[in-house]
Amino acid sequence: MIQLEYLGLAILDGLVNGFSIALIASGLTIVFGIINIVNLAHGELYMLGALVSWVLVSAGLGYGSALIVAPLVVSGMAVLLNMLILQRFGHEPGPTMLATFGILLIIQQAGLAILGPAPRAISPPFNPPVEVGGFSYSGFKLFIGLASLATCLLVSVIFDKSRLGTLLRAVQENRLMVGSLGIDAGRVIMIGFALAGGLAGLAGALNSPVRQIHFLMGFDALVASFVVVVLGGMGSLRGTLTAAVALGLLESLTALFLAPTASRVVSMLIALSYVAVRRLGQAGGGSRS
Amino acid sequence: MNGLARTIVTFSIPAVLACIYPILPEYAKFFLARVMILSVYAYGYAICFQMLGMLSLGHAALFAAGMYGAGLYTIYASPSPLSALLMGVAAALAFSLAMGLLSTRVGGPFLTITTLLAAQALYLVALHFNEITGGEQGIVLGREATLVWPLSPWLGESDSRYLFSLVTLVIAVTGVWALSRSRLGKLFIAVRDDEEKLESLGYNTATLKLLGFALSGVYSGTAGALQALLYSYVGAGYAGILNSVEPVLWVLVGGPLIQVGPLLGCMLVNIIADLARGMLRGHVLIVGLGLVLIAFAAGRLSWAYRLLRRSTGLVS
Amino acid sequence: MSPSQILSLRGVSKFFGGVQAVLDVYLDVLEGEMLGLIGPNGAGKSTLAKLILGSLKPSTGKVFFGGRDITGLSRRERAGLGIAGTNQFPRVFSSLTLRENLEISLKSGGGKHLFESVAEVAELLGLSGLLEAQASSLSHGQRRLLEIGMALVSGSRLLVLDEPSQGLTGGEVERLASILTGLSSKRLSVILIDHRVDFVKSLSGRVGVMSKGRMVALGPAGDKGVADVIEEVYLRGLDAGD
Repeated sequence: MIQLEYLGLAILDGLVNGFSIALIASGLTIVFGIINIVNLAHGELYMLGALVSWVLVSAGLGYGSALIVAPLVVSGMAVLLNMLILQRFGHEPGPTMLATFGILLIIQQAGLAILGPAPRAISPPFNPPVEVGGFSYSGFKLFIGLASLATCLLVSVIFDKSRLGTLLRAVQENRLMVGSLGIDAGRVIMIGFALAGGLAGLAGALNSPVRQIHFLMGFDALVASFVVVVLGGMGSLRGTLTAAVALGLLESLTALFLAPTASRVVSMLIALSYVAVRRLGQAGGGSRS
Repeated sequence: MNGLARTIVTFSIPAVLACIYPILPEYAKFFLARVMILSVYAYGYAICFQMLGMLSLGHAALFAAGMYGAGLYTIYASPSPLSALLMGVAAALAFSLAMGLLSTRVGGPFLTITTLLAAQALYLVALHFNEITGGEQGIVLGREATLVWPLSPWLGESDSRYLFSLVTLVIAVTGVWALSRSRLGKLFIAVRDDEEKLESLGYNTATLKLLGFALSGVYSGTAGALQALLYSYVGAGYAGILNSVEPVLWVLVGGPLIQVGPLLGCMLVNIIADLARGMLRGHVLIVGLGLVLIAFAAGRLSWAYRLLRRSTGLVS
Repeated sequence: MSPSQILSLRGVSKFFGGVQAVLDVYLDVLEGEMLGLIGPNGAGKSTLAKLILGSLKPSTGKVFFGGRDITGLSRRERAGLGIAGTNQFPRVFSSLTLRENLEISLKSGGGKHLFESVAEVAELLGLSGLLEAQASSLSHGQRRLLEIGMALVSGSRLLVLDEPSQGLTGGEVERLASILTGLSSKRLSVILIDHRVDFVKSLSGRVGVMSKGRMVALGPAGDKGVADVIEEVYLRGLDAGD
């Protein structure tokens, strides 16, 4: 018999995890939305965010600095990745996919070299127990959830309302046409990468005190992001947020009965069935956006 | 290149591998036997990727299905290596049909994503049931369960491994050679060239892709099963993503000729990785660098470029 | 006994978003006839071809083939009934040889076959010398002829040719005309869509004229009324349908 308290905790935990996954997956979705490429190294950007935070905190610089520096560093890495490699083959999907997989492995090995094979941990800078509806919950996790949600909403507003959002959507619609309008598509794509990297870096920094900082954590995040973007629709930020919350809730609720790996497998199977039923990417099948 | 020349080239490498066997030092024997098994896997992957144009990132699951099917059978059912081999191939065939049913319904990058997710699901299942599978650490099989065991009165372990690997490789090469000359092989290539056009001529391309996936699964599963039955070890590492992406590199490095490319590419990449093992952080880094380099090279290799374009573009 | 209809379009329309590509078209194609279809760019001819072939589904209206409602059938299912076609931009299997392209088409199982062997069709196309050449090495015109050959051998009862003369050299156009003339002895219906008005009129028994998605005239190729509409549609750019 599951107590009500556990159920409430599971829901809250599911929401917090869902918002975190949404923050990671939005970067993947933004890049796919603009240039139709799947950046397989995206999960590694999240790992780098956590890694940078661990380095800073270990150096005694305080967690606050990590929240600012990690997104900037990772954003810079994403821009470099685009500039030095992906741009060279005009963002053609095939070579891009291969190259990003190679970069995934290289960053992973760099992570192994810096972090070592064993997981690392940093402690939350503050963690007051917060009373929510009659049971107490980690104050820091609540902070992660709220910060992630706020960032996701902010990005979504930027996309819908600002000039930058208009530009990003214009490049998504027709890269050649925006060129003829005097808009530098290359720069817009660069901004997309910077944004995607920043979001992944922020997610890494936010989650670093509550997760094991490990060189393989990026691949798990990539798999979770794939589940989310497949369910929420590649390129749709709002769909990503909705699907991420659904995934977070599903996994934390099934985790009441199942081991965490098993609940992840369940969510992957749901995503796979969805892909098959909607016939994604097929002529006459589900939508491509 | 005409048919005869192609046939000669196709079988020349296995012939060389057979001829040099008596003069090989022990380590080279060990190394080449492993590479031959991996080449069988490479040929299987090439049927899916190079012939049909499907960029799967989930073939590790098919390899692992063969490995677990064979290995777990010897542990929990009967230590009989030949029936274990059949069990491994059957398991891989079943898994490839499931994965194929899924992948024939989706296109472009979604095929890559779904195969990756399917393989990762199998990997997590293997970890979850680690009391049965041995998880990441794996299980060492009993000596009498290996294929090497029945020959042990006459041949040393490394000799019989080499023999089994070579025979399997020759069968695999002959299969791909025959396939590439057959009507089915031509239809596979037609699927890659223009799936919609083939459909408009009245062919069921979904069935063709499923068939290709199954054939690819039989090859991959055979390699996986032999991995278990020759080296008496099963482990979840073989179901991991690295084992899915390596064959992509082998096929692209090997070149456009499907009869020899996978073997050539697999040998080349593994030799380089083996030489560099001491200098760099090893195998993973070599594969990573290799992928980045081949992505750059693909711009200059028109066949690789076309293949990648076909297998990752969205159908609109 | 008069020849029966093989294909009937009944009030077929196709909308893309708000754009009307094909509007309320009624058309009967008779067994064994060659029907020409002309009209300016954007008149909806190619869309109509795709609606007949099944690569597009009509927004409204129905398509009948041999008296049977085939509106819901896919491109592949229609191929199985013997409906074959060529594309505005020729599509062949570029990694395969010319012979292999034709062999795949010959064995595709679309009912009875008009041709017995690959050699016979290659001879007709004037491409016998290139049978072992890879399709990617062919010229544009040769690829177009090959695609027509593939449609012919796939066992057709109805052939829809979309701009078959486009990009062909003078000699190739003559070859195409003689192939099409030669088809009259086979019991095959052909819809010939082309922008060369004289080419279409010289080969077809009847000619349909499309403008802005509508079928604005349909009649014998030599008919004065049809000629007037053609002139009006082409020269004055008027929308004869209004």
